[in-house]
Amino acid sequence: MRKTISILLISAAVFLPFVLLSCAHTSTPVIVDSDGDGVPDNLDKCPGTPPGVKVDQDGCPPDTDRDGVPDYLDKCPGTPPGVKVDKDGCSPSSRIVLVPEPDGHVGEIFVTTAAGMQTLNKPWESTELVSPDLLPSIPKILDEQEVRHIFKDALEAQPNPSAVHIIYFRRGSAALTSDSMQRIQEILKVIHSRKSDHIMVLGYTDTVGPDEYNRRLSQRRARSVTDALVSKGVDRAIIEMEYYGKEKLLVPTPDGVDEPRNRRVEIIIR
Amino acid sequence: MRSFIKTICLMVFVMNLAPGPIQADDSIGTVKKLNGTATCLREKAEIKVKLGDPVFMKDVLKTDNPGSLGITLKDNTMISIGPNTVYTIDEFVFKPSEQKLAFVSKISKGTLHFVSGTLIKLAPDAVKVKTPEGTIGFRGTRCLIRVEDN
Repeated sequence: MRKTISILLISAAVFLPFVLLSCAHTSTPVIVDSDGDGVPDNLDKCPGTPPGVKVDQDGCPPDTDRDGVPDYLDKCPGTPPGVKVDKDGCSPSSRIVLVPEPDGHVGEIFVTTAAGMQTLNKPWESTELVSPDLLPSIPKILDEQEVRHIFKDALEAQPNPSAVHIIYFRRGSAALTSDSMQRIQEILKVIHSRKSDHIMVLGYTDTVGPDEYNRRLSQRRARSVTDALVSKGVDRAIIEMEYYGKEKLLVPTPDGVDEPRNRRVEIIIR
Repeated sequence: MRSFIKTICLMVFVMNLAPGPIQADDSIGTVKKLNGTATCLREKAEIKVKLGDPVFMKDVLKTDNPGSLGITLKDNTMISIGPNTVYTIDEFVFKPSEQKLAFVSKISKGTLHFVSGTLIKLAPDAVKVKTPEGTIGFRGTRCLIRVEDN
């Protein structure tokens, strides 16, 4: 029995290498697909695809916007061609939203890049910029509440609007009437209550008379209000005076029209 | 002797050309609201912003998170910025009687609320806000801008 076992062991030692060598020559090659995406490693151009992610014949997951970041990792799908993106597939971008005035009036905004311009002129209309070389996106109207949420902090930090007061003048005059002096008293109270550090005094006229005459008249009107404020204790250094003559009419009129509401000084208290 | 006088004159001339420190009168606006921490980069120095501080041309205003800031400019324009924002006032000139009007600023990142003032009414084309990708022009209105820097 022991003799038989010895013969078998010797035979195995002698023939096994030949058997193994012969097997290696005749068997099919072993296919390795390390990431298990169904594409063997030697053909897989995108190794390391996580399980469950669909891939193409090269073993690569789809990248619909072709920004170099596959869809399953792309937090910003739909990036336009040629735009540089970060590892999340996102590019720096700017969002611009047109906000209506408190009275509902809506102005106009022009958003321009090297590629062209978009105009916003409807409340809460918005456009996005993703590259200096691409046209701003087609404007769309955003939900007001969503916008207010995104911009909450910036909106809440808006300073209180300046207080605007107007004093009117008699025809061709820069003198303050007794009514005007009462208005000056009210204005002083506002200056003190707001602890204002800047006051604009802006002089205007109606359209009667030549330009130069009206410029000088508007200057005298602004100066008489400034002097009145200073005489009541306001620091002259915080008052800034400007005058416009018959430009910037409060009530638009043709030239030569006697319009009392245009003969005025505006006092803007910041 | 004449050359000595010439040299002195030249020195006085050059000294007068050198830019002097910013004067308070040069301020273009005031900080009216402040929440959290904000800083201002002015003439290479970083200054912590306080309520009531003057604002100058070329100032770079930065907010932390949390942080927000509101300023009123001389023409009554109101600018307010949210957290993590960098906003630069490149140019502000408000001299209506001399027809000198300009306001160009830039938001590099963060959020901005822009409420236009007198300057836009007088010279709409003189007002621009830049973002990293483009430029915004106005016709008397207010707008919100968000710049994401990722």
